[in-house]
Amino acid sequence: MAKKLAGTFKLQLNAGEATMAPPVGPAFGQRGLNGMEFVKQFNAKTAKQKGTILPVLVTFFTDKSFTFIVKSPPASILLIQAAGIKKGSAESNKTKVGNVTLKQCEEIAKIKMEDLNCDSVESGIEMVKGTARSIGIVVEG
Amino acid sequence: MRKEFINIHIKLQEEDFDLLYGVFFGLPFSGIEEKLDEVVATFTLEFWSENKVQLIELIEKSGINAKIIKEETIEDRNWNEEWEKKVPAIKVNERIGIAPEWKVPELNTDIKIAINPKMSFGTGEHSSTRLMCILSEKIVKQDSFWIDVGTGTGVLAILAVKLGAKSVLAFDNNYWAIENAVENIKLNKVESKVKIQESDIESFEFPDCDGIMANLFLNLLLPSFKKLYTGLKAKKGDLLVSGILIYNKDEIIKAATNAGFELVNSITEDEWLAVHFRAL
Repeated sequence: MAKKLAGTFKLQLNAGEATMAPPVGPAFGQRGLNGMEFVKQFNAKTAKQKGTILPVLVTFFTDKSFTFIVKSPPASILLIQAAGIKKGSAESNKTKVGNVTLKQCEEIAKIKMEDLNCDSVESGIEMVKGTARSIGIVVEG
Repeated sequence: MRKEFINIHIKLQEEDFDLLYGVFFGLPFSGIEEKLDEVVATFTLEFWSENKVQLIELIEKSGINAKIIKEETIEDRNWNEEWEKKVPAIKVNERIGIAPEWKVPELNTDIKIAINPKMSFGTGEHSSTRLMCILSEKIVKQDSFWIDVGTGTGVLAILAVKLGAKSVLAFDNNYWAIENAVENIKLNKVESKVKIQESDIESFEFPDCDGIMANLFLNLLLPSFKKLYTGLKAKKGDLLVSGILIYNKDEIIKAATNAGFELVNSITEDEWLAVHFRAL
């Protein structure tokens, strides 16, 4: 018999470095789920992506079991990494902190297609360019 | 020492979440939970107290229409408590069983380990713990001295004593684990043979030992093989590692052999791997 869905929740966590500290502990604990199991699995599965933030969608069931999907990092983080900088601009309208190429925006759009609310790579690129502008990254070309 | 945390509730449109993460990237938050038009970022209270003004300014100047609507202090506690009430008795194999104190009578194994978990890893439910138990059963010799790295509940240290080890030095960098390991060691009446210490691998000085058991994470293991080797070199001791996936097997073997170990054996359960190395 199929498991009965009880709910979902979404976290953003540092790859390979989850602990039972909040928000993981409370998110799992208040739903009666085994957070220790999640920490072990998440850290093993995301070890290679250390240094980035990863969105995790957790689906849990009435029998207190759960599954999770690790998605690609937020577009802003991918842009920061592509630009080779440490963080986005706190005042993007005044201070530009880095550059990316159109090609890099396209690559990010392709990675993020599943998560972006758009129906073509072209519209995905436009969204990524918008994100770049908003965090002070100049798109060249 | 237990830490205190603070949840910062930030109201903003969902389409702007991504931008906020760009601004937050690099900050030492312990995680973020996404809600409807709201994100809850968690920092240690210490970090927030020292950097609050700058962080609020960072959000306000970012151009994102975001507003902090609530600051909520959270005292660390055993978040896994509800789950732990239901931890089952685990029969690892014919010889070894692990169970919470009140379920030990359900075990029909020769070696019965009582583990009352308290937000620490190692109840026997996870494949990596069972794999480490199976390797330990074959490798731990009478009157040997072992070191348990990242002891969690203390389960592997307790097992080593029950398998005949003369003594075990177990350490962990998590205060929950230290507290819990001490409780479980008393529960199993092996406190005269197991010493618990709070430490991380980097600052731990490994004495010469017969074996090291380390059920950790890939990211912790890879840079630690050279340090682990320092404790095993003199006696050409055994190293048992787990907490890694089968897909990382080649990488683990390469890192260990580069540090001076030889591969002896590896075993798997589902997608989890445990490996036995020996110091050359």
